[in-house]
Amino acid sequence: MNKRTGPIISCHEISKFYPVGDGLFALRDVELEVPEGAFVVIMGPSGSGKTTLLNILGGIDRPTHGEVILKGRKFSRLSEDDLAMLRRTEIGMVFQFFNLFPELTAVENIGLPMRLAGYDDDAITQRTTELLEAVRLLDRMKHYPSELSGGEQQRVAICRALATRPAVVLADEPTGNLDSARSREIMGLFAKFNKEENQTFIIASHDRSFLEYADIVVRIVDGEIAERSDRHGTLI
Amino acid sequence: MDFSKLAMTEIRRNSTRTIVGVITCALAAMIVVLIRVVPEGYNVGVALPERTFSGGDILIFPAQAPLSSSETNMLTWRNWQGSDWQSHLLYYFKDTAKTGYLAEEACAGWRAMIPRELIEQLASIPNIRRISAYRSVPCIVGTDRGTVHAFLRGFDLEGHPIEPHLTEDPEKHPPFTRKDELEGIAPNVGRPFSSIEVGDVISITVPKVVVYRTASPSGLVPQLAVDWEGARSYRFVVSQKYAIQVGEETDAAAGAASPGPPPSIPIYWERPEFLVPMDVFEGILAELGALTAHEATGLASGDFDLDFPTYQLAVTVDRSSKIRETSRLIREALGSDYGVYPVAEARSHMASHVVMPPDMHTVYAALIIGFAAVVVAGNTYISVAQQKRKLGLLRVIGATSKNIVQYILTLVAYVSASGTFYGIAAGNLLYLITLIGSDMTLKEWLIQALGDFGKIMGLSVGLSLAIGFGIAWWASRLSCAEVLSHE
Repeated sequence: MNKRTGPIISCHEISKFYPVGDGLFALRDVELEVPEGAFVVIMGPSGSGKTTLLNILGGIDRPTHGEVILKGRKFSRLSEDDLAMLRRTEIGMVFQFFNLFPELTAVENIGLPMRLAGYDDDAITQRTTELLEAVRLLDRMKHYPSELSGGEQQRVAICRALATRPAVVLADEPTGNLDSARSREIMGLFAKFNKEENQTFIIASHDRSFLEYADIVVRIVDGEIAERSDRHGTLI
Repeated sequence: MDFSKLAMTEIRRNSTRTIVGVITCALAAMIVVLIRVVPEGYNVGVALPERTFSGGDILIFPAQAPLSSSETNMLTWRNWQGSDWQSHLLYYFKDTAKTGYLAEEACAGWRAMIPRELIEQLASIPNIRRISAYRSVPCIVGTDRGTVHAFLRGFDLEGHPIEPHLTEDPEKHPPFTRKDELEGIAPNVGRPFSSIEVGDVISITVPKVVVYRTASPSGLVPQLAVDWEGARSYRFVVSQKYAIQVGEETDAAAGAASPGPPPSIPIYWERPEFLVPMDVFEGILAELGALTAHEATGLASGDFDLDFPTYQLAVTVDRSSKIRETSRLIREALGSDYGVYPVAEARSHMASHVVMPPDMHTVYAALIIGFAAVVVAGNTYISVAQQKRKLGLLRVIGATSKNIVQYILTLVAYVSASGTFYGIAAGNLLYLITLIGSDMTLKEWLIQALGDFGKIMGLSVGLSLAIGFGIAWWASRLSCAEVLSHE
């Protein structure tokens, strides 16, 4: 893989505890370092803590203990608004159920993070066009999400996540709501952007097809990292 | 970041809720515009009767009648110890005799006013054409049918004309033209006046009017009383008759006897005032020694019009559309030792006991608009509760708390501003109807409407945003992870 050295995002001794009943550790002492340009796949059964980990890496949830560092910035020192502003330009997120804004067109959905980040209209137009071309949806740019298929919506969601060229894209079960053909399409897009733009991806998924593209595979069980390996299963 | 498109699409998506908010704001704004009309907005032609028998457009009494007011809690009740002949106070505010009147602790209270003093205080107020004093004295009218108590009133012919209310042809029976006999205009209602005819001679016994001083919280004040021991009789020719219609009522008996809607029968002003020219009235009082007593009060001048005490002044205005404003200025100039009432306001109180005290208009307006703002805020809360996921998503892609607050306040502002705009426009268009028969010009209406857009819009949108800010702040604090976890 053509990757630069040094972790672009890392988490140290991350724990997430929920004081429900006798108490529940959704995550316990998770350590992870992700180099720039890496394609990381996090696998594990339902309830193992994949989504919680992604939320913490994305700054939309706070760990009970531990630290997340993105490009040298410690999340513990950032307020909620600081984290929101960080997400504008450094973190993109893709969800299982797409989470597009139904009242905005495809191109408007993609441009929204750029508007929040203060990009001018020309820059927004250029980048959104470029992304829509890359995912072959240029002719559907003015369609609303309700007028797009599931695969098309997820492609738009990926474009939105990539709009501001973030340091890392977090994807939580991005193919969970798609059929196998669309799922392969989406995986192909992730791989394309990872290879062509050196985009770092961290993907939580049950879909073993992602392993084909993975640089790092992290298996998480009951909130703890059970194993770190490459796509061939060699432990790292 | 422009959230207007997100807000507008949200508004369109939830059209029912939006319409409820817009209509509420529109109704509130329209009511606020129109309550300004009540009770002051009245057709000039309709107002003439009251203005005639009251002598002007705005009445000034030396005490505040018991209307509700935001300042009521600063006033105290005092027993009214006046007499019915002194003014029209009891005509308009009947309860005063029973309940008393309102006054501040240090105020003089019920007393006779010196017209000159008030005219000087009101000299700089615009829109005042003239100020005249109500002049009347109790009398006993004697006819061949018997005697009756009435009032001899010196009538200000330069005030509002009596001609429209004369019941006999004024060309055949011109009033106040006799030079060698005393003459007067008798009411055409009530006994025995209704049976008196033009040309009849009646005797009127008039008591002596005494001016004296009494103690009040602010010192000695003049009062008027009558002394029947000094009474004298005068012969008057009835040269005309008058009837001032002040309303209508349904004739239920006639309606029951015939098909169709029951007819209306007119209601006339029944205060038995026998009208004589002011110079005649002054002459009678002088003959009976009143002016001598007036000089004994130590007043500087012997000008009857300006210096003889009275319990009622009537202000005639140039523009009836400015009556409310003129009344406000008079109140400010005179202070709380006087009651100042546009005739329409006093008449409304007389008819329905429901009146809009001038200082309460702003309070009611704020309450009405506040209610609308609460409705808008409530709708916004529901909208936000239904949009938690969307707000969480906005946070995920980088919206800060400030962005979320901006988005929600945009929603609130659109609904309240658009509704208020429609309401002000509709209210002012309806207000245009009152221009018919009014002396308000189109330019003044336009200035008033533009002023409404500024004041009412500012209040409505401001209140909505203030209440909506709380909701927006709450929404900006929603946890992303929590709202997105419910997929």
